[in-house]
Amino acid sequence: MATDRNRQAMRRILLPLLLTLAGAALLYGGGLRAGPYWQVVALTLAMWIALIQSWSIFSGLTGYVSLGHAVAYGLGAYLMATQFRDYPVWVLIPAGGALAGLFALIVAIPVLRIRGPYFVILTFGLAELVKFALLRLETALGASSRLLFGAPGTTTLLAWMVALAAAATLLRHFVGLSRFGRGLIAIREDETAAETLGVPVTRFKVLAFALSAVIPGMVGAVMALRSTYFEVLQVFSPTISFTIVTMAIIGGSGDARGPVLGALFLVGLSELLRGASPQLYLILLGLCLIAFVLFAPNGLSGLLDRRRK
Amino acid sequence: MTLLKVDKLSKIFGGLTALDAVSLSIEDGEIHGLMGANGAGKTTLFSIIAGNQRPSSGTVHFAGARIDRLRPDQICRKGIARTFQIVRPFAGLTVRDNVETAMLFGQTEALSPRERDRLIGSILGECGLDGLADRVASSLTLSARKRLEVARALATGPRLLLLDEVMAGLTPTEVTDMIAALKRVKDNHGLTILIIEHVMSALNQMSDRITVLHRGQLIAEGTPEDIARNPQVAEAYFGVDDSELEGRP
Repeated sequence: MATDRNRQAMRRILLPLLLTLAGAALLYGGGLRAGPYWQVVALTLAMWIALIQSWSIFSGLTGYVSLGHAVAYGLGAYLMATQFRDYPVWVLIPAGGALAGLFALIVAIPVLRIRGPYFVILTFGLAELVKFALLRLETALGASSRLLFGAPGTTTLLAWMVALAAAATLLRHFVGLSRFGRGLIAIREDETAAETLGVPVTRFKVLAFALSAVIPGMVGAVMALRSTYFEVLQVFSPTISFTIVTMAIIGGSGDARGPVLGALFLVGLSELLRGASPQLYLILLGLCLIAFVLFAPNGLSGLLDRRRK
Repeated sequence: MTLLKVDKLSKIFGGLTALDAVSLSIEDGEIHGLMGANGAGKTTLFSIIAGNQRPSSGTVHFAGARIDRLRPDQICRKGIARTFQIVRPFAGLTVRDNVETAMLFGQTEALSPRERDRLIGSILGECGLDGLADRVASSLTLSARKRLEVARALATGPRLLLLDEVMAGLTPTEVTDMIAALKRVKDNHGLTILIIEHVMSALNQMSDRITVLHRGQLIAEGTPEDIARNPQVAEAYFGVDDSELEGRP
C-alpha cells in the first residue's frame, strides 16, 4: 500500500513536474539556438499552450465552454499598452494577470448562473461588449492605436512566455489533482449531484473562472510587448477565443497533456501551410475539427489513452 | 428525539400546488416510508429537504436547526444525504472516484488518504459494489447504479438518508438484496432513513412508520398495519368502491 502511494506520487507529481521543466528547457533552449524564425514559432507555441492550459482549468474541468477568454488576454495587453511608459514591465505583467482575474471574478457572479449553450453565447457576447466598449473609449481618447517603444527583445519575451506556459501547465495539472479540481470535475459530470453531495458549486465555478483568466492576462501583457503595437480590434479579437477552443478540442482538455498536443498540432500545421497556402490551412483546420469532434471527442490525449488500453 | 421536522411546507409551481401545508416529524433512528401515487409530491418534498428546491412557504428543521434557507451543499454537510430517483452518477468517473468525491466534500472533517481508502472499501462492500471499484459508472447496470447512488450518499457521512425509489426497476431478487443492504447500512452507520418506494412489500417490511401523500396533501400517517387498513389511502390509490357509487346520481 505504501509503495503504491509512492508510485502514485511519482506518477502524479514528480513525473509531470520533470516533463514540464524538460519541455520548457527544450522550447527555450531550442528556440535560442535555432535562430530568429524559430524563436517566433516557439514564442507562438508557448503562448497558445499558456492560453489553452488556463482555459482548460475552467472549461476543461467544469465543462462550461468559455468563448470569452480573449477578454483576459486583451485586458493584460491593454494595461501594458497604456502603462508601459510609466511602470516597469515586471510590475505590469503580474498586474495584467491580476486585472484579468479581477474582471473575471466580477463578471463570473452573474454569468455563472447560466448553464449550457446559453453560457457559451453569453461569454461570447460579453467579450464583444468589452471589445466595443474599449474601442469607443479609445476613440474618445483619440488613441485608435498605440505604439510601444523600447520593448524587450524576442529572446527575453520567449523566456517569459515559456515560463508562463510551464506555470499554466503545472497549474492545470495540479488543480486537476486537488480537492478543488475534483469538485470542478463533479460539476462537469453532474452539477445537481455535485451540489447535493456537498460541492459548493457556485463558489468553485467563480473561483475557477477567475483563476483561468490570470495567466491569459499576463500572456496578453507579454504579447503587447511582442507586437509593440496595440489596437483594440486586433487584441480583443474573438479569433483568439475560437483558436483556444479549437486547439483544446483537437488536443483534448481532460488532462494537461491535451493543450500541449493541441497547440503543437495547430502551430505545426499553420507553420507548414500558412505561408504556402492559407486557404488549404483553413480547409484542413475545419476538416480536422470535424474529424476530432466526431471520432475522437477526447482529442489527441484521449487517443493516446485509447492506444495504451 | 425528533431529527427532522417539516412544518406546513408548501410548494407551488405556477398554478400547480405540488405540496400543500405538509407537516411531518421523523424520529431519530427510524425508517420512515413515504408513499403516494405519481405526482403526489414525494420527490418535491425530498428536493426541498435536501435544498435542491426552495419551499413556497413553511419550514424545515434538522437536529433543531432551521435548514430550509440553506444551499444543498450546506445541508449535505449538516448530515442529510439524498439519492435521486433518476440516478445521477458522475458517469465518466469510476465507482471509486464517485464515492471518493462525495467523501471529499460531504464529510465535515478531512480524512487522510488511508482512512478514505478504508472507508471507501467498507462502503462499497456494504452496497455490494466490491468488484466494481474501477469500473466507469456509465458502464454499470441499473441495479449497480442504484447501489452506487446509495454508496455515494453514505460516503458523505449522513445522519439522515433520503432514498428516492432505490428499488424501482429492480428484479425481486435485487429488491431482497437491497432491503438487506439497507438494513445493514442503517445499523452500521446509525442512520435515520426516509424512503420513497412504490414496491409496497418492501416498504411494509422496512418501515417503522409510513406517511401517505396524495395530490400534495398528507392524508395518512401510521404503522404499516394502520396504513393498510386506512380507507382514505385505499380510496386515493384505488378510487372508491363500486358499492358506494350505487344510488348516487
